[in-house]
Amino acid sequence: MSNTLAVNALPMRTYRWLKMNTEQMAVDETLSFAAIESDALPALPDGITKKTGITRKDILSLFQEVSAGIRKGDREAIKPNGDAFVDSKQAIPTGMGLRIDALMEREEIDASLYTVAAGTKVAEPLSLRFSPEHETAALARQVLHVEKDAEVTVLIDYYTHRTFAGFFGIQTLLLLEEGARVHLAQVQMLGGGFTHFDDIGAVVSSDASLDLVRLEFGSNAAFSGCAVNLTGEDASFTCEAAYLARRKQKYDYNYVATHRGKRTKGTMHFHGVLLDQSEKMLRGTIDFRAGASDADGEENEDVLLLSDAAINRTIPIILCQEENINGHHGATIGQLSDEMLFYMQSRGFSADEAKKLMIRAKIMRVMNLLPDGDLKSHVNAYLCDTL
Amino acid sequence: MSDEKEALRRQDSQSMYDFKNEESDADFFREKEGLTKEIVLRVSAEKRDPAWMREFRLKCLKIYEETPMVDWGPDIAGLDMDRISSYVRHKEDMKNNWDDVPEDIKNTFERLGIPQAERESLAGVGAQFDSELVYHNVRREVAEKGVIYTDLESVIRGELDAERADGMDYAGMVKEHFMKLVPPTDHKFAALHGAVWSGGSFVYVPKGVYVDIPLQSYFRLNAAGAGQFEHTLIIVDEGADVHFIEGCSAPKYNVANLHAGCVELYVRKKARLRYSTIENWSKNMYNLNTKRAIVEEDGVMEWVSGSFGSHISYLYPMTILKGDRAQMEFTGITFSGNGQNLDTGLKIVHQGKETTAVVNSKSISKGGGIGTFRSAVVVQKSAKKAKASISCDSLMLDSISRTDTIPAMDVRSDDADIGHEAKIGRISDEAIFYLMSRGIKEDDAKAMIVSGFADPVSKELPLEYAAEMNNLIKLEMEWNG
Repeated sequence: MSNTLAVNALPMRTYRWLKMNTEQMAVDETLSFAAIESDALPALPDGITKKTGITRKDILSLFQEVSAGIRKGDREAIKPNGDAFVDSKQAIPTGMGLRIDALMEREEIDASLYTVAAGTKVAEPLSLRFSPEHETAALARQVLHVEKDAEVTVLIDYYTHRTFAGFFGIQTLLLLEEGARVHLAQVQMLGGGFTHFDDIGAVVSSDASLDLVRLEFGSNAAFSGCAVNLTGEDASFTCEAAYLARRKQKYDYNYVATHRGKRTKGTMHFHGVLLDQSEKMLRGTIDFRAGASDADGEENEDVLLLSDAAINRTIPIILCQEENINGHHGATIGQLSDEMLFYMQSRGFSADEAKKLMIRAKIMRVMNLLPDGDLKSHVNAYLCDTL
Repeated sequence: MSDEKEALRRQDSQSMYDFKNEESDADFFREKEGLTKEIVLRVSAEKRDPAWMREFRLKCLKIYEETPMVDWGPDIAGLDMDRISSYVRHKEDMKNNWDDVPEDIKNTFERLGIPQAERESLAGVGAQFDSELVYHNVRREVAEKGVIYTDLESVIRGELDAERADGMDYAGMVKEHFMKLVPPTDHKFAALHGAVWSGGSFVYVPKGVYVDIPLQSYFRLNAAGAGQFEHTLIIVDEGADVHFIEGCSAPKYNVANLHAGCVELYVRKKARLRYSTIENWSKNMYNLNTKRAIVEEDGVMEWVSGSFGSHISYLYPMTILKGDRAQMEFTGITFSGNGQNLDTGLKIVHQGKETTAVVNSKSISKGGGIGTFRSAVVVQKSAKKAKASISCDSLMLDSISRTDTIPAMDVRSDDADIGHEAKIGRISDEAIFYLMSRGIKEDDAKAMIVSGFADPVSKELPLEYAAEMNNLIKLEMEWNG
């Protein structure tokens, strides 16, 4: 028996007939969900502590102060037209929304809390690999608390054999205190029979920065949401994401950068390739709240559509309630240019080889941002094998 | 204060658009408020509908009752259909001679400059007052080319066929096209329109006919607590070319008024239609208008739109590029001031091969106004080598206003070339400083920069309308300042 969860809701609704307002994620109710831990690490990098068994109450307590500020701002805002998706019961907003919290709580999934102490610059990346078993339903929840002026790199990859099937979902909540820096990289290489979700919520305080690099290759259906609240002055968020969808893969994204503090900066870049009968839906929102003066928000997407049966859907939104900002978004959707193909062929590449090279080039722009050599090599090998 | 500003203050929106004619029972018939089967049947009887139209209205009423209210977009809870009269008309019939129009109505349109514009720059004019057309005329030389520009109802009743006896079946033509592009199932207010529509125009431009000066319809909603539901149906036959201008205004009342018109445009092979609108409804108006065009092979549809009025607007002209190489262009500006929530934009559906769309949209928010640009571009699988370029610029003039951009794209063809760009920002301090250093006061400098921002739209309009639009921008800058 299958149930569906409404996830990845647009911050404001639009025409119903487009069917973009939200997405239904199928969850097989006959599955027996279990918490999954990352593969065992030899040791945590110096400067990071880990605590398990973190409950909803603990999470609410950790985010209590920032959450109150966010809710106050929401109450005072002029509601956008069609606003109907305020998940006020969440500790902090996440991209996929309240239903993921509800699923985690229904299945009694406790979180792991990683804390980086104030002023600590963690030299080694925190590497977390999740390898769910074939035909299992696994959920994970983690909280990263980076205290004042601390810095950390976190690498998370989800990997199984290509033929594996199952359900794997993960939620990551991040609290970046003043001056904190987080470099977060996520790579999704799950088997072709997996349904996957990845839900992120982050609060970025003054002078803090969050860099997110995300690569998506696996699963049959993947849902990803990321809500970042730039609450402090000079807070920043950058996102570089790339995906390669093939066969009947279906990717659904909801990324929201909410600028609340002065001089906040947000950049979201998405690079994608759609092959075969794949489908992709990207909701990308830059939300400038009153008071976010001198804020800068940019969003850009370029998509290569390499199949007549592929479907590309995009809705890049800018919401603005502050006069003194710069907001910009752009989208380019198309095929490989004839000029480029001609050039490559004139250099001895066949059309097929030229296409593969161009796909690799697009993905590698983001892959090269991965901070870890081993993971980069692993992804490169996976990509070569895929192509 | 500059002389120009003083002149504008004297000629403010009060005198330009916001004047009322008291409507006495002796001169006017007013249907009671609300929407029931009896009311729909009485409107139908008033219109002397043929049976098919009467049945169609009843079908629409049923759809209206069964269709849920929109759950996206601006809040329209303040619109209570039980307080809206769907039909108000002067007891005099429509005239073809301006001198025969009732004096009070004539004065209204004189003040709006309509007959003067007709004499100077229009090929034909239609003037609607509340629910009925009060005047319709088309220049003799245009009529001699076979161009039809008249009220829709008389065509439906077969009166035009009887009058012209030219072998054309205009009544059949209307029946074949009426609410086929915008079916009553499209949304709740399309169904409402189908049930109580009244007034509007029918335009038919025969094959190969080029109408070199524009036709214009002007809609005036004078009655308080009333709805206007005019229907415009334009068919531009193969290789023909016409420019149609639509103007709208109303005086302001303390109760809600409703405009739920419907525009259906058929652009045949190699034909071209330019549809320009300057909308300045009063700020108690709920403007829930539906406009849609279908364009056949090598046809061209051009929209030019200026939205200044209304309390709430939902307005998204839709273009279906059905034929191969069909083209559309949209140039629009929306100015949202105090007390306004204007949700405007467009929809494009690429169906034919090598279809192209170019969109240039501007939006200004000021004085607590909310402006939303909402669009949908759909490229169907059949639309090989479709191209679309969408540009949307928004200007925020203060921090008590709001401006949002919600562009959706659904691309299902691998060789489509779709580009979208949106920017939101404010007037640069440098630009204001530069103008002020040249002796221009700050307010004037801002108004000048906003006029420049709107320039791509105004230059697409005939001179008289561009001047009117610039005046409206200046007034909005003044009133919301």
